Amino acid sequence: MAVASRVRWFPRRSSSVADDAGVRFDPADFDPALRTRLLILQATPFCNIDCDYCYLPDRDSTARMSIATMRRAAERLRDDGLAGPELTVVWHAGEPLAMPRGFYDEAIAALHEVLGARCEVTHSIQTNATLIDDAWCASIKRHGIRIGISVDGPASLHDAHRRTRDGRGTHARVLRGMALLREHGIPFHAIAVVTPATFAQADAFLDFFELHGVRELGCNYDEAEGPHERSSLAGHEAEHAAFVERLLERCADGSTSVRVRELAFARDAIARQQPRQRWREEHWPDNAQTLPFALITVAHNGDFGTYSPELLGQPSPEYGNFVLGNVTTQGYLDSARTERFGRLWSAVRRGVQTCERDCAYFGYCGGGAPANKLYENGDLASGETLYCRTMIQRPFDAVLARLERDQAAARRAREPELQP
Amino acid sequence: MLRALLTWIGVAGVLGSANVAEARVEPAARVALEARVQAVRGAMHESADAAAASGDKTLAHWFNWSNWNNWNNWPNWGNWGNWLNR
Repeated sequence: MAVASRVRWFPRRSSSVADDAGVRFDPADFDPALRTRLLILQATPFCNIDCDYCYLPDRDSTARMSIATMRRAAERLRDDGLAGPELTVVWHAGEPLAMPRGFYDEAIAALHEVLGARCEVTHSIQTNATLIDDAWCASIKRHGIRIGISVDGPASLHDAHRRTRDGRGTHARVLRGMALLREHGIPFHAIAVVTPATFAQADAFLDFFELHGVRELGCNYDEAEGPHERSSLAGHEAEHAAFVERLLERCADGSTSVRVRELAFARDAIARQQPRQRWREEHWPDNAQTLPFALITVAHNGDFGTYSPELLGQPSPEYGNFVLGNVTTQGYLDSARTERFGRLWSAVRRGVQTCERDCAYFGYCGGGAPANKLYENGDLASGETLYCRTMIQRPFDAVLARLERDQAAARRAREPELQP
Repeated sequence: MLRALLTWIGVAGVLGSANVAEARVEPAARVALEARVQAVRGAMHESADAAAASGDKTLAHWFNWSNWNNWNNWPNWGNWGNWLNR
């Protein structure tokens, strides 16, 4: 592997949280130029299951995105110059496979027609896997769609939260979907939501993914967001730390071939200098959740937002439910001229400055997640959250300590040979 | 309503900072963490260089854990991982 740089990160001087609240947004202030990396399209808000930790308020709605709306979302990206050489489109924020298969045939063709000459578009679907069948597998293969499965591990963990509307567990159906993907030779990763119940079963949790062919695993937790007001992790952070340590131990000693996203990202942040942006000649962290329009989320009806995708549509009189505009009437950058965006941009920016001032991990994270700041601290301009401790700090601490121990052990092992 | 007004005129940041003031990190903590990272990063760099120069890849085994041959290669994710801060 490459260790790219020894250049030190010198945190710039502490800045007042409120000193630049009136600064107006100008895309020309960013270097390199702002580009959208991830376009999240909500084909439908509907989900065929009803997980108890879900943040989506409208998951009973069977509304659907039209091809015309989807095309307009892509045209706005093209016309605003936000489409770079690569773009990942994620179909999410509802169950994507609740849509007719033909929708994606049309949608992917239309996106290619609008953006194909300008950027390489890859499509991802994050699905609960319960609706996967042979026909979906054929469609997924035909379009080269990357698949992520939402599954929480063994049935006892999964079925405690991921249930149908009439209260039945979905684990067996998810396993069938995963088996079909394997039969069709379709690779997939998994995202699991971990709770305190998971912490006591770290080995069984990891072995489940090993057994079912998952090699890339993201460990989310049940975040306090939107209608899900309280995380079960509150009061269980010590157990979470032990869980992270155990996952790392298994990953490092080779007793599993599952790679855990949070640990890998922590290791990467330690191994190499992270990329940075400049904003108005100052360093600005390369954190897609705090860079305007790096992530754009478009709802089924064309409403769009930026920053944390979970924000769009959440009730907020202050920020107009985080809807910055609608692609049928307004471009993304046009929306940045509005007072609503100005308030949002100011608050997110002050939140980054708070992190820079207050958090030792700022150089490796870049300002946290605005949605978690809002829902945990009640303020987008605030700093540390449970999300920070769970997703960034503990994996970072565990990986750093392990590397230090392994380095010391390697040095001790070499010392006899180094003796004169 | 008052909160919205305060936010608009930029005062809410000052108020909001009150609930994070207790979490303020002393410069020493930041410097200490940075020193640990730089020490490990430097050692990784040196081991990688030594392994390349000598052809003895075991010199870099201490940080090339197990069978994670390429920790930074996540072909199935693309920019999806960006949702998690990267």
